[in-house]
Amino acid sequence: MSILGALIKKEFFQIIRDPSSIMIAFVMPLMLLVIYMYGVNLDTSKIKLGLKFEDNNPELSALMHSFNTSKYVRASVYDNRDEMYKDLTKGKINGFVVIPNDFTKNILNKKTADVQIVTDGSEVNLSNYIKSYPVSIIRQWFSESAYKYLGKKPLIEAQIRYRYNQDINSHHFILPGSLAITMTLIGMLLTTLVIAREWERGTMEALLSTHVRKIDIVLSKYIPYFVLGMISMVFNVFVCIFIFKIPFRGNFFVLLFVCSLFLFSALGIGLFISSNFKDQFLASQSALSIGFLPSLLLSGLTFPINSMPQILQELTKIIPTRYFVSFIQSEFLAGTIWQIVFINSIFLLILGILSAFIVYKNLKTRVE
Amino acid sequence: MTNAVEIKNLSYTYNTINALDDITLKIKKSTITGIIGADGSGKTTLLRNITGLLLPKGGKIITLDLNPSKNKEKLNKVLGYMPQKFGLYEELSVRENLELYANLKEIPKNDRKEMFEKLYNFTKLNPFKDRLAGKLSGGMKQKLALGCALLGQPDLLVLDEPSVGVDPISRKELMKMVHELSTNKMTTVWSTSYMDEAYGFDICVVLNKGKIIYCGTPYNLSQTQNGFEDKVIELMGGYKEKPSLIAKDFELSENYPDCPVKAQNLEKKYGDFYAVKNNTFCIKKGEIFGLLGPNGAGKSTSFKMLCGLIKPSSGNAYIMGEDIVKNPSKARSHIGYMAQKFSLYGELDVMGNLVFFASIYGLSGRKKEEEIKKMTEVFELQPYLKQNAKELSLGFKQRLSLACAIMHQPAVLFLDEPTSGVDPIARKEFWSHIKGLSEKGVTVMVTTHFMDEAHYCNRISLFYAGETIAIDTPEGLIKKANAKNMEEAFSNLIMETKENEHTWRAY
Repeated sequence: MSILGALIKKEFFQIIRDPSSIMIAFVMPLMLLVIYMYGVNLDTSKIKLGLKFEDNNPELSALMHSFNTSKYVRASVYDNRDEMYKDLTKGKINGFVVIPNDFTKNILNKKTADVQIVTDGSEVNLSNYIKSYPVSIIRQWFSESAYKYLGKKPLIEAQIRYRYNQDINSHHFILPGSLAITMTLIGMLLTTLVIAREWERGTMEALLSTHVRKIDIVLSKYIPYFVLGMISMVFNVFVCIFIFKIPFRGNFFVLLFVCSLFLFSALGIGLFISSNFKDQFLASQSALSIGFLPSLLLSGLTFPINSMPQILQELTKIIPTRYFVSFIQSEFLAGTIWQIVFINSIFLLILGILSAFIVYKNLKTRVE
Repeated sequence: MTNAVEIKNLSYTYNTINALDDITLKIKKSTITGIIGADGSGKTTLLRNITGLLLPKGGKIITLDLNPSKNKEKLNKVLGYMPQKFGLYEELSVRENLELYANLKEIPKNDRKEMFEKLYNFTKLNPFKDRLAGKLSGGMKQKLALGCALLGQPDLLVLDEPSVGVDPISRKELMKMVHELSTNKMTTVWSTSYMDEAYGFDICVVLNKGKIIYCGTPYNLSQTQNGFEDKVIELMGGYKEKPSLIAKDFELSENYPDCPVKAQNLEKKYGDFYAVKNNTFCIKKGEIFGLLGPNGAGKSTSFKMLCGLIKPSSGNAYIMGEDIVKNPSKARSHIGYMAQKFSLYGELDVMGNLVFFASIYGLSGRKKEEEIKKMTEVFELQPYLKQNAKELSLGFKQRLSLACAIMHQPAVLFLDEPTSGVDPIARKEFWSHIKGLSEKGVTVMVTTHFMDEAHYCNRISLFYAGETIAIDTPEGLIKKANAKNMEEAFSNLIMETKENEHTWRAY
């Protein structure tokens, strides 16, 4: 058997007999997917809203009814403003709406009718919803009420449709994106340990005194973990599509192809980190902090890249996860779009080759 | 060329410490050359320079007509190297390790079978071919690692302390392996801290503080083994018997029971395998109690049970009257424990380790400073205070471990191979401290693989396959075994038990 073959065989034995790499490849992604599936949800649930109607016009009972039956609001009616403020402070309600006593009178007189909306500004995202939900409920009520002929018709009305993700279910884009994150974690964690481990246990010293060439060591680290990573990827995709029922509109072969490019570059970054340490603990810590966290935060999955400061935007260009997130989301939701496949593949390939080159240069063949 | 290795004005500095200082040395072909020397004298650094794992900071090396800095790949083809940490893959079985290294050394398939058979026979690893290397006992690991280094019959065999922590029987077997498996053209360079081993080499090179202070045949230095050891010690600056500084102001504050360490039918079972079987003994106040036995006999397991680190399967033990099963932490508070494996903080520097251990043992203020100062002085740690503990040489790691174990003046001291890898002078000093402490009433239980050290013990328990096979004074044991010295007594008594058992067991 060739030297490379022997090293690869050895690496596979280590993978099979050391349960931690199997844990990293299969159990951990499953856990992450479950967390992303059931724990992370960017759609807001019902907001808790306080209501105070100072206007006792019977026409408004329909408005009250709309609030009470809305999908997006859980309303509770108050008689007392102070109480509402107290509950807002306690966090019992996220905001409240006050309909003043001259509300219908103003409408009848064709004057502007005021409505007061108070929200809890400490949660910015939520207060945005609180701002817009009551407004649209009141508009809706107005267009169907007895007063509808009193107001002017709006000149423009937008017809909104969400393509690719009809029911705006955030899982449909988070889960494919999280596949990218999970694969980053696997790719980096698996490989960061392996070179450092050889140093820590003293086996590197012995290896370096045999006929092994540098290229053998590098390839023997890439190939087994590449295979393991691909198996793990197929497993994850299977879980996403068949168990979590995420719609997949793309092509499996394209997915596998880009995946392999991505894995190549992620392994490269992991090995680069590993080749700098002779201590497994330090290597795994730095894999998390300089490998995984930037990938998570800067990949564009959780925070849009074009709203980042310029410097960070430039930085995202060397993060392989960024390209993979962009590819996998469109592959899942919109199907194969060759332009997207092509551009992301090119960048992943460049990053992969670059990191492989650095790993090769960086691997020490002497003890110091 | 008649020389396998030629070194001219070699120097190597490491963190401002001169590890090798202007060394000139020629190693003849077809000899076994021993490198001996004090802890931190540069043995490992020298070997690594010879194999090209380190690049010299000054001077020139020619190994087998090649320059290791430039032609490392060519040199590797004629080199067999066994590093201090063995270089075995613990997740791979014995056979898989051998096959891996045979592949890495590109040994033709046809030659392998015969070579493997020979190695299995020599290492007596035949019954354990499929056992994972990580599950082998220390002696077996070393034999396997040596086997891997010998594969392909290298022209130069470099062994970095291959026999640290190996029992006398296995050590003899290692030596025999090298002698019988080496061909006429093979040159061996072997570093060691065992003087009896060094005495058996063709040439011995004594290093001290990065310089060569002797190079020649051991016989030229002295005609007897004991004389040789004394001569080496003299060369290294000599050892003067002086009262132990540590024992001097040592005070026992505690009330002593008759048996500070008492074991009653102590037993530890893993599956259906007994690591320790029905062990009963009582160590008296101020006694030095030695635990001798081959690797894997269950000595470390006994220690760990007595420290309350692992729970006995049955039976019990008492430290200063405290039950180790019911009150392990209370029992532990009386103990100073030095583990076999280096168990200090590698990432902390020497000073950091001293301060940390002083603090967790409850020392503070002036008392703490005094103790740390004393330990630094006694164990000569001053130049290394700022160095990370994991970078220390083997001997200095042991010194630091011992310092950390006795800093809090414990009433009972458990020392698991304290002197393994320590140079002969430091070993004598270690024992002068141990003896001094025992005179002050400290109860000591100790293991060692140095048979000459057995004589320091008041009583010895000979341990084999988890059981005590004899318990007596050193003189009593020698008499019982009908032997000339302790080493012979050791192998006689062990062999006797082995034969009685009929079946050969590894543990």
